[in-house]
Amino acid sequence: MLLKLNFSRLLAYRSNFFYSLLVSLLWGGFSVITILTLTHRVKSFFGWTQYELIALTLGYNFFIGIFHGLFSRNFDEFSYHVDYGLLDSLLLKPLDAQFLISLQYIGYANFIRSGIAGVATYVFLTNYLNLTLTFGQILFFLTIIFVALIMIYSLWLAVSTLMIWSPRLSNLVDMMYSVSSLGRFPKELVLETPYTFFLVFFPLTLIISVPMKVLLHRPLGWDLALLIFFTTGLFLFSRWFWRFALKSYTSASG
Amino acid sequence: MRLFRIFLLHFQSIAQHRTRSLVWFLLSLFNPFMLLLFWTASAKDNQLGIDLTVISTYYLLLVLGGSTLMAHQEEDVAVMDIQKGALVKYLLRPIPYYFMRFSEEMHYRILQGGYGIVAIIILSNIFQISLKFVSDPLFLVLALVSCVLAYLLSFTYKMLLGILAFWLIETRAIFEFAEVVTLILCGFLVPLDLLPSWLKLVAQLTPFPYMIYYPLSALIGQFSLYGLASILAIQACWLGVFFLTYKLVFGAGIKRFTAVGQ
Repeated sequence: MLLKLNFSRLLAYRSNFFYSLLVSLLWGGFSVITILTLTHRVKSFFGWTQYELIALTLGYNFFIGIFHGLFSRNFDEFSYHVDYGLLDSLLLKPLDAQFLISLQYIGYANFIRSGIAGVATYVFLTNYLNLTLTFGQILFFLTIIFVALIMIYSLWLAVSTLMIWSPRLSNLVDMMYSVSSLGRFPKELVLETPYTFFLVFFPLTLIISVPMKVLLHRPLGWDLALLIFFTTGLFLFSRWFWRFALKSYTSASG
Repeated sequence: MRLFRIFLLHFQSIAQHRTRSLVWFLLSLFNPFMLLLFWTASAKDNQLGIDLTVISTYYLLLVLGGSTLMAHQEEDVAVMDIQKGALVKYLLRPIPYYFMRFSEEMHYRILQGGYGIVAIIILSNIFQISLKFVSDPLFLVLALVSCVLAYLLSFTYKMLLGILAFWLIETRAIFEFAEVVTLILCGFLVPLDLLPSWLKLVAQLTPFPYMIYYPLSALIGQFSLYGLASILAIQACWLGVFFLTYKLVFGAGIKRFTAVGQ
């Protein structure tokens, strides 16, 4: 039903869809330019070769395209819902309010970015890295991507929930776009620097490096277990935090 | 005195949104730090042949430069002023639109600059990052002049982008494209010296590095007196070109302005 409603919206606002697609592809292209620029000087990064880092960025675009398609637009609207008291109508519906506020809007344009990135990842891995990918590996990759999606969703939800107390801080969502981009890098980015504070971002570095390790035929080690651990923890925390924050929701006149 | 009062009123207005402004600042803090992490980690693993002190200072200054030297008024100009008609209130005032907008934007830059200075002091101490700054007073003054010109340049460029809304209904894609170009060519991604040589050459032919890269590198003390003088001259030239273009474009665009329903 939600998919159908969103598709009708897409057909009604076609130019908006076109611009969203353009912008989405633009940022996808930018992430590729970024890694090309960085690897121009740095040919390897703690065992990750230049090509593997590029593959990581392509995989990230596949992943983030799905995430933005499913959730980002909803988080963009979050502060508007709280500020204007529109959350009332969601709370009164017979469906879970968290589900509704998270999945009301679907950004089809981002799925196209994801599709293009997915094909590019496959072509890059098979042509430039000469890897053979089996159906089982791709299925395993997609399963881990699903786990990573839950983790990043939980993180965005926990941060967006803060807007129930302070709806004017809608730019927290803009910050999350930036913070999520840390996922393009392997975990050594935060583990191997002298700045220990950045270890708080460690879970983010697992979201794409772990699934991509499957496609790159690299050993997973403890990384998958860590990803599942952080995903479970963050999901439970974000759910609790959302319910806790709703107690403070005072509608539009609050 | 009247201008000073306007200045204070605007400052009161943005002080109400200081937390929101802080989040914007944190946003501008994140990317330079992510890239700094990349370079410091890479230096541990590779022989990069780059001076890490210079790189660390550059990215820390980028936190400050990104929040003070780079104006962000283009969306307000396009959407609020031109498309929703708020430009009318500026046109009725005795001070030109450009200067009113300049005054409004400057407050945000001052507030964010304050956050930036505090952040640099705290972060350089917590993370024990050694900073390298220009020590000669003459060079310091010239570097600061370069920063002022850089801000004027970025402000005028963003005004130009904003007033495209006189002709365009959908400006989002253009703004996002401009953002990507700015990130790459201004030196937000990496200092110009670390770009591939062809891209460095392209960047040098545009005004973008004169908004961020050159003023910050001047503060680090990367240039000779002759080099600094050349940078200031080129900045002044670009500023002249941008300002004249703005006057022409605004003059043509205002004839199309219908206050509402743009």
